[in-house]
Amino acid sequence: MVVINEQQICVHDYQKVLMMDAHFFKIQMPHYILNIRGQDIQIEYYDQKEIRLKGSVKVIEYDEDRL
Amino acid sequence: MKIGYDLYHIQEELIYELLEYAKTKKVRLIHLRKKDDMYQFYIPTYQRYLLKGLSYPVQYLKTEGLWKYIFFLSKQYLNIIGVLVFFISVLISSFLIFDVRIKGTMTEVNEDMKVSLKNENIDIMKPLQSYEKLNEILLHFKELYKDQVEYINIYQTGSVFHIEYTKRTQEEVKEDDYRNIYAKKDGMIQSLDVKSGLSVVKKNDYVKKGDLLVENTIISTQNKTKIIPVEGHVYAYTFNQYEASIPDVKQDSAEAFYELLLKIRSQLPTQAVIDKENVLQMTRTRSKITLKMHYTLIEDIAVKGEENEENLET
Repeated sequence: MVVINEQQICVHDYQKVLMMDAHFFKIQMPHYILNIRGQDIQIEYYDQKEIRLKGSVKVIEYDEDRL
Repeated sequence: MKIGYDLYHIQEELIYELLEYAKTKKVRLIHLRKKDDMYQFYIPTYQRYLLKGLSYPVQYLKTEGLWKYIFFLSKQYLNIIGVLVFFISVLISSFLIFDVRIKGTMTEVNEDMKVSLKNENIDIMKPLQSYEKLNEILLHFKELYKDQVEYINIYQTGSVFHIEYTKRTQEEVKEDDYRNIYAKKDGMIQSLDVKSGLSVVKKNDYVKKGDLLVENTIISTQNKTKIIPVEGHVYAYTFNQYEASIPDVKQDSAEAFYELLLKIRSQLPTQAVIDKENVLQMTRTRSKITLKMHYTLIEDIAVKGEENEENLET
């Protein structure tokens, strides 16, 4: 589940972070891959079930299970 | 437990291993950000032991929050002992008496009470007492000091034990006096303060020495005569002249006048109030200086008894 507001993006029930840097995040979800593009994206909070991202997000993509 | 966080950093290429490890071991990462070629992050202090299981090198930088000060304190053993001793002493002292205060005017009763309290195990550095015990002591003291003490109270505030009491005053037994009140000198009635008796004069009446002011006889509506006690005061304006002299030693006139005035004023009755004070005459003869003054005084002219008794002023 992805929850979006003005300040941050919350990603619940993720499986794995596949790629990350300041402009791009690729997160493995149960049935798809989530791509987040933007500027100065950082992990504000990370635990077993939730990731909260902060930064200037421009694009969110839902991709099928492929790298 | 949001009272402290540890700051770590890890090399950039190990970040995915860290994320996987954190997800597996349920470690919370906060403010994960890239700084130069390292990633910095915070974890709650209580989870630091979980991070020790990570097989990759991760460097501890510092602790922030309350835990920082607790760890700082833990490195100074004497401080810990001091803090512990302080808390223990505060805890223990809240159950003990620090002072015993007895508020009363009779020193022998105060000393006696201190001894009685010691017998009841109430003294400095002894335990504070319960309400039941305080009531018990209060009843005991009331019985013990019933002849000397009118009112007594025993209570505790904080760690101080208080006793307050007031001295028992002997009530005077007054016998009724049925004698009439007469004027002991001439005057004009200014006011009457009669507690018991029948006034036969009123305000602004002129009375002479020996005149009846308050009588003890009243007649009821059934024409029955009844004798009642007489008690009260009758204030009147009295008119008096006083004179005083001092030897003439060529002193200053003002000084002489002042000295004579004080001398005359010392002759006035102590209970009288000066209403008017007039200088009649000040004379200087060869050997002495004389001052004559006229006073209008307000004084109590009431006296018990008959005219032929010695208590009237001559």
